[in-house]
Amino acid sequence: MTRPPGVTPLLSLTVVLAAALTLTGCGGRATTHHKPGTTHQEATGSSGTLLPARDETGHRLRELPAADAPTVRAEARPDPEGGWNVHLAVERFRFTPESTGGAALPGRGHARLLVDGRETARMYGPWGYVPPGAHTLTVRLHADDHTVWAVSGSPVQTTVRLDGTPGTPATSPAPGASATPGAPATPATPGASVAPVPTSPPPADAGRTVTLTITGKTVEPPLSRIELKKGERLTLRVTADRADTVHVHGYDRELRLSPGTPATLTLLADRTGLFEVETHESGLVLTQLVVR
Amino acid sequence: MSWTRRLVLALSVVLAALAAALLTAPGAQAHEERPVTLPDGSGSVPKLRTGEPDLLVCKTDRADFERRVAGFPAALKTRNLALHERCARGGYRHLQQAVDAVDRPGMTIAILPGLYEEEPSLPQPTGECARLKAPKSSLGYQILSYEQQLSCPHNQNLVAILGKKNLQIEGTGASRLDVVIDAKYQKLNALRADGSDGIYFRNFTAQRTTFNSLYVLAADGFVIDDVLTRWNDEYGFLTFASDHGLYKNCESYGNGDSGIYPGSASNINDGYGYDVPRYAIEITGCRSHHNMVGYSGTAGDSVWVHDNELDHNMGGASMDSAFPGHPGLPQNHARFERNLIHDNNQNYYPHVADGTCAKPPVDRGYEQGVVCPQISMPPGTGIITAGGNWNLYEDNWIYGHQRAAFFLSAVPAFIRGESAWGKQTDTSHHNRYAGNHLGVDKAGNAHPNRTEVWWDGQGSGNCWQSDAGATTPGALPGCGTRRGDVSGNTDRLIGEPVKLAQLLVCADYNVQARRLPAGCDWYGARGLQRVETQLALGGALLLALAGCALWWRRLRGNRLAGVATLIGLAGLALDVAGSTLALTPTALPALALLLTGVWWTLIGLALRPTRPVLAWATLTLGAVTLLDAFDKAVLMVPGIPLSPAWFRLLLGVVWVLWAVIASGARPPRPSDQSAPGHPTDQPTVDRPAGGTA
Amino acid sequence: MTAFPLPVAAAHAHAESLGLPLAHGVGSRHDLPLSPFYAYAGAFTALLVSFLALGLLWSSSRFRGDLAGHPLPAPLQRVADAPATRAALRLLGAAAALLFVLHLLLGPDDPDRNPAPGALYVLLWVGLVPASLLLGPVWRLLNPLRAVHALRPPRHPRPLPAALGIRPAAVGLLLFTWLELVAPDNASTTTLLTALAVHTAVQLVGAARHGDRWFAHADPFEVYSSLLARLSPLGRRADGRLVLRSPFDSLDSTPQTPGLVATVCVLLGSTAYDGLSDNPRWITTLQTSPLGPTATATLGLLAAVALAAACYGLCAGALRLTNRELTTPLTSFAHSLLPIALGYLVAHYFSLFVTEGPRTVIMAAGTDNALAPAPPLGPGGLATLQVAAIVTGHVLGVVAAHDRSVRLFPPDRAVAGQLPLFALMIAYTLGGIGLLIA
Repeated sequence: MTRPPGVTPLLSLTVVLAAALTLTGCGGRATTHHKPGTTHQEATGSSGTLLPARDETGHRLRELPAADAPTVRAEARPDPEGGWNVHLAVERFRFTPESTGGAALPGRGHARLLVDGRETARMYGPWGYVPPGAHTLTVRLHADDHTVWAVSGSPVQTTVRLDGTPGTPATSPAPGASATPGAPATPATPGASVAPVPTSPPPADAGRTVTLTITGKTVEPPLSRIELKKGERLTLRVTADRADTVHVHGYDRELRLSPGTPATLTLLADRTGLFEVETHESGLVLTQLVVR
Repeated sequence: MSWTRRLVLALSVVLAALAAALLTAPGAQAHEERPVTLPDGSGSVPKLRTGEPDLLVCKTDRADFERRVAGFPAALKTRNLALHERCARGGYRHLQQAVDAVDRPGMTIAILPGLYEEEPSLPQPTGECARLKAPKSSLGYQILSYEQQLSCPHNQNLVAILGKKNLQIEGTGASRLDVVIDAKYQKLNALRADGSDGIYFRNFTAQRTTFNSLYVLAADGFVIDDVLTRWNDEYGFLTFASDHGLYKNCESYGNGDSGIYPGSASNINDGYGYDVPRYAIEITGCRSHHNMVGYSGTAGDSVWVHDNELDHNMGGASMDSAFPGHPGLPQNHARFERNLIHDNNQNYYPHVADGTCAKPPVDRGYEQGVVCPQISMPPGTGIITAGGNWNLYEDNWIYGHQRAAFFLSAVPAFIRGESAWGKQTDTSHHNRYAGNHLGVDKAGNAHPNRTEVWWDGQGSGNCWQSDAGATTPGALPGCGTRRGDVSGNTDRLIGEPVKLAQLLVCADYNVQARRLPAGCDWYGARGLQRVETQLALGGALLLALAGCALWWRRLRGNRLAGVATLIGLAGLALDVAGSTLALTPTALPALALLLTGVWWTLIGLALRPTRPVLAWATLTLGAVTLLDAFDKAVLMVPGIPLSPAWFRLLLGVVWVLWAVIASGARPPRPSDQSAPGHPTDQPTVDRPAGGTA
Repeated sequence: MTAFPLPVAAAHAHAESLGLPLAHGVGSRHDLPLSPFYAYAGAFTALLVSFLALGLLWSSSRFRGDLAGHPLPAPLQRVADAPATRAALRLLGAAAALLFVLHLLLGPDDPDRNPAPGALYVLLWVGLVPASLLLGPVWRLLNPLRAVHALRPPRHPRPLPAALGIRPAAVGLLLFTWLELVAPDNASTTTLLTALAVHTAVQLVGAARHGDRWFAHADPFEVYSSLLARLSPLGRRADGRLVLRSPFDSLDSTPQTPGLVATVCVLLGSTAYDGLSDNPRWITTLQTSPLGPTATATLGLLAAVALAAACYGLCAGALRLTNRELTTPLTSFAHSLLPIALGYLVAHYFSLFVTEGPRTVIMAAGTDNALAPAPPLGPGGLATLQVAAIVTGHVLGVVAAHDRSVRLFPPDRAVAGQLPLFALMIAYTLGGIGLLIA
């Protein structure tokens, strides 16, 4: 070896450094994005089935299964100046005034008021007003394209009698809309609608849902950490291509998997720390739960 | 092996490990679009054709149509009813069908009032289109070539306009809301115009996509006239790599990135000064509001933006050279004139923090005002220029901002992936901010901005109007009346160190990981949580300890030194106070530097008899600090390539070490070395680790 | 929490047959990654302290090593040195070992019902840390293998080569940490029995050749316990008296045996690898590596140890460059790395000890699927503890190194000579904190 000692490691060093420097200098090809941002997951659900039937105002009905359909309850309180202040409690529904006139998307739209069977006003939020002289008020939920949300062929609506006697809920799947036992001669407040009315957004502890797919030895999305706050609820939806068992360490929860069928596990994150979620047979770590 | 060789071997092992760590880091981002080149500029801005349309699009429900046109002015109503009859006989029900029927250049498609959901474009791709071989972008969708888009136009687009020249698509309603093209979050783009030079869009609304509503790619000649786009994951209008373009009378809101994005506009003015023969894209009469930024121009070159309103976004307008993969970088030659940029104080970052933006786009609630900011930017700013040259900002009304009217920083070229040494400092230069009406609206009412200018100090030829109020740095180069006149020009290679540290921390934002860097006030950090205050506090503690140790051990008898140390402590305390958000644009930081400089100067003088070399070092440090105070408060010092703050930083580190060593060194007392019972120096090798049992 | 139904428990027992080991062998819970605020505060403190120490600490050596300390009262000394006490401790160790072996042989192959894995990985491995810190090199007194050896000591034990030092123990520690961190299925009785057999065989055969001083050179747990005992306030003076002394003094008297550096590097490297093994990117690398998870993890562990050793080697080389008279730069300062290694150990294993330790004891008492108690400190408290442990270790190391360097270097070069050491320690500390963030 004619090279002086100590040169060989130096040479290899410089080669490594040069390689590192050149590789970090590569630019990117064309892109219209700034950075990988939020997911751009396209919606795939349907907006219900458009039925040929129409309601009395001429709008077509848009049918949804009962489990997905919105529901509405109404409460009318007399106003000191006359008329009634109407409050709506909706579930699986959001008022979207800005997109009225656009296409129908499930769980969105507005409400229309029919006084004594005639359409008089719309409500783009939970509160509205009905002038005096009305006897019955029907509140019906419409989609942005003005079709009527319907279940089993009849519109999603609720009816309130404004002259004191509780009326009958018309075909609304909402339980206990306005029927009050008792309270006869007092006008309005069919206070069966419970005092603290939940507003439209889904219940606060629906928590996060994470979907995982296992194909062979790869996990989609790739291994990352799920950050949770203590007390938050997490739903894991796992699909694997073989039979396996998912184990959540720390919470000691197990979930059996059959090939191709998604399985769901819900847990309440009440212990702090970092916990691994892995499969037993294939020994893959699916994700890590970070509970603070 | 000799020690030298052992050292070199160990060194190479460690460095090899470091290199391995670097190399295994994820590579550059995959390209998100097929490679495009800018047009050659031989086209022209198309003109509106007012004759009878060639193709008609309408829905067949006559009763519904009559309700829609019931409130129109008489002439328009008659025309629409007539067109509807014609359309019911021989027209199309979906826009895509009409576009497919275009067989020669220069045709016009009229869309009659109605809601167009383009149902034939909606089903999932099947057969060949489901198995396209194309690279996947880092955002999860494939990057398709032009031929692939032609054969499978609905993989990513609701309506694809591919290779149709001089096509005009217009709505015939009374307002742009009469014709609504709604993608229902089921496609990436609502309308894509690719390879379609001379396209003219007019009088309709396109909404609700998972990327952008109106996408014009590589067009030489396009017009967007009276169009509304809203509620998209990223952009309302995206016109990429295009030339001879005109936006007029448009509106866009509810977008997660920007309403109007003329990205990589044709770089026709590269090499010119302020006076250019023409602009590639003109934007006028548009209103962009309730987005992350109203206008975004990454490589938005040669764009003339005038008489628009950009309000109630997180930032009014932004142009930058900070993202790789946009042809035409660095950004240059944008011209903003007579725009109303006001009240851009929205803060949508809480939507990221609470998980709303982690839901699928359809569930985020865009129609209710949710916006998911895709990138990091300082909310409450009027115009952000993060790496741009030769931009003109003149005669705009900029008011009501809670952070700054103007934000200028440089971006070294390696951030956008260019590693050539000569290019690293090619931004930001020659940006002119003159004649703007700051803090007042058009009627003259006062709506002050909290500060007018935030500049990191880098670049040459930048200038601001002399009537700017609170600015950081306190003294700025001033614009003369003629374009190109700058008084007090500076040419610095790198910006201020603390501002750079803040930019670095703030840039670590990642919306997918819900990572909002904790030290950055863009995401709500205040007070001690901000990295600038943490750095100031840390530095002040170090300097205070070193200075006090020096005084205690070496200068205790010297009254001058005592006074100086007190002054120094006061200066350091003020420095920490001056690093807070509220006090940065005031004179407090400069005052703090003044006191600290006085401290060092006096200490240097006090040390001269006993330790002359340290004294000179301290005096130099004091002089540099005083210069820095001057630079911040009175006049930016011209001619130096780096801000005095860098010299102060480097010299300060050296000084602290030196001062501590000077205060610590003590001559060893001879008695210590031979104290009885002192263990010897010889290492013992024959006793096992446990000692005696 | 409900107990497992039996078939599920059986499935769990066959867990990790193809995959990665659970945390530290047993334990279902890792610590949260540190928030950067704590990390930066810790790092800044460490830097500040080192830096101040450089200039402001004493300029002549203060620690007196083997000669320092307040002797304990004579009765205590008599009790501690009495053969009866020693025999009792030996019996205790042997009984515990017997229990351990019985659980392994006869108990179920399920870490949730068998306390043996927990006893090894938590009670022994982590428990030795507080035990040695408080009471000195306890394993030497409890080691059941010494008891077995004493049944039939060799008549002509061969001497050990001087240059061997504690290198065999370093290898043993590396193998144990490999078992703990990398080996697949490391909580199963088969693996543990195999490991136990190998350990027993090596120790007993070696002791049969070289006498019972073999244990002090080659038993990894004895060496581990003895090194940790260097930081104990309880020690033995050069004249044999039991004394209470400052940990600095006992640290200063660490004998500079060959292999000390290797052992410390193994401790640092393996604890560092433990911190790395949680990282999602590393787990993905393991799962997708063509070599298989075990081989890749082994390479990772070796790389961590090698990196720690290389950094130390660099530092020693730099020290020698600044001071030609320093003949043994590597071993002269190795003792100052012990507090840093201790800091790493505390940071990584504290919460495991306080959750799994009680659980193992409860299981040994008979409860199956015992519930691990929640860690006593909240996430913020744990984070503070972790950073404080690493920074304190760093501070102690700095002080020890400073004292040694003012003793070894001429006064005019004392400060300059410390700079490479300080750089090394800052590298280890920042590395330790960085691993906590990951």
